[in-house]
Amino acid sequence: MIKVEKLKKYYGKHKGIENISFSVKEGEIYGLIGPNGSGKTTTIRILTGLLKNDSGEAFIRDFKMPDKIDNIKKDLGYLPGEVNYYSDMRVKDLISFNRNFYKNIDIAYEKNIIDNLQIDVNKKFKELSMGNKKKVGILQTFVHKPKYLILDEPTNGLDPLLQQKLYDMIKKEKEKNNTILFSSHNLSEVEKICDRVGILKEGEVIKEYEVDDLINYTNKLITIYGLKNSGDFKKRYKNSTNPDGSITFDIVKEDFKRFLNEVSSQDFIDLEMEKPKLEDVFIEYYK
Amino acid sequence: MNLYIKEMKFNLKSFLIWSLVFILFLSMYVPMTDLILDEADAMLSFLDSLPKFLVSAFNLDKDLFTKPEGIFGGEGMSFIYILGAIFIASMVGNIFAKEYENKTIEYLIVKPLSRKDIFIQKLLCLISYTILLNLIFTFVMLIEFKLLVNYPYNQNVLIAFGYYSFVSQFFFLGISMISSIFFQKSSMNTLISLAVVIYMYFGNTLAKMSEKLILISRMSIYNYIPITDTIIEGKFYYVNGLFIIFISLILMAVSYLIFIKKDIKID
Repeated sequence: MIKVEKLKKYYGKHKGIENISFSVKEGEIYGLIGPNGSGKTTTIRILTGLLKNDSGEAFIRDFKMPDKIDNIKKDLGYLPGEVNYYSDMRVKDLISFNRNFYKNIDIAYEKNIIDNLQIDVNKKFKELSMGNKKKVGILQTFVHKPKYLILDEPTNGLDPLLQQKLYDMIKKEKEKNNTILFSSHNLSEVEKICDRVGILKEGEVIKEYEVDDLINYTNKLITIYGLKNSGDFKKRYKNSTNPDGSITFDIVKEDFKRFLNEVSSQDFIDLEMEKPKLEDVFIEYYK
Repeated sequence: MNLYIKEMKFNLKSFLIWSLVFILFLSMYVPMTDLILDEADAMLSFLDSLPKFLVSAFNLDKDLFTKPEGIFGGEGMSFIYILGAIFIASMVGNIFAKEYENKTIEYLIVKPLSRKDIFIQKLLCLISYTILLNLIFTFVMLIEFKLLVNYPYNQNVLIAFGYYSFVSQFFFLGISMISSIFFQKSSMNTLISLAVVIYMYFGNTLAKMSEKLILISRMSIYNYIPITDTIIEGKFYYVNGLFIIFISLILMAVSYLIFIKKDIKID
């Protein structure tokens, strides 16, 4: 379990986070979503022992962070947004250096990740591209089979193929009942892998959702082509007229059945219905 | 000791270069000893003609120029102190400040190693290299004196030079660690160390000119391990050196507290 309660951190007079609360259950993937500067990284850095909070509490398992971080480090995998390792070290030396921090690294599992991500172990870290640096970061995060994974914008710099590989790795961790905190401003990836999301804005969690609920129980966008007698509908339902003359109605969950009943008795050429994209849902919060 | 071994390996090249600098400096300076002593009379007449304040300010005591160890100790040791302070500042910069500058501290902090362990393993590496450098310095100095100096000299004074050099560097280890961890910038670290060594060494020397400058002298570590007294009067300040080492340990303890408590801010 990862739990954060009324967490607050200021950098001098500048607000980092204020009153952040959420919890991540075992075997759950929790997404922290928010624009740059919303407090995702500050929250994560308190949980990983890099920053001290001003007030509030943060726990991983039963250990209070950041003070008791040493008790959980062996079971913690952390992937920072920007991966910075010793630039003059060859990747194979970096792997060996990292291996010595843990007692029982599964060498076969390590090799499996290296092969899967196609990591070039002979290059120096400074010679790697941003994406390849991230691959080394992913290896270091997963190789000791941590029970708690904290991933700060993990797909930044990765190509779509590698993103998919990372999603698969994260899903496998979930199957092992491991706990995963995942920060992102890429909303489509949250939709793909997270169970729940907390929406951060200006250092506060302003809304928390089950991802399934968010997708299934929000407004529907219904576009109708060639609708005659549209005036009455336009007055009663939020809408916008498209360049081709079709009208898109934004129908709230409660009005959905009534709208469909009414429109079915009308004369029109075609009808398309779509779920609003997660981006559209979130954008409302950022306005 | 994973981190200790990594730091030793990473900084070996820098250490070897610095060792070479010390060896080259000794190889340049020690062979001049016999040449200067051969013409000691002319040198002493020249010193007699100088104003007293100038003699004090530049540590040109006549008694120093009658002994081989005095010729090296009088001027050469000032360079050893300055070079030592720069060596320490650069090593501490590599081992602490650059960890912040290169943002690798973030990686290290989340590994199964407490901040205390990180600090101790890095400090051990610094102490190891400081001891090694001064052992090399003392050993090479003794060998070169044996091979290149024909005038009689007191070997114990040379050993004391090695000890004073170590004490001075240990003190700058404390200073550099505080500045390195607090400012998290290696350039700032070198500047602060240089400023302190110049202030302390030359401040202490200049203070001999006037009683009005006595406060500067009292604040300098070099006042408590005076080379001139050791050469001329044969007094060894080993206990004072231990006291300076104790103060250095307090500085290190302060830097430890900063390291333990300071946020790791990476922008």
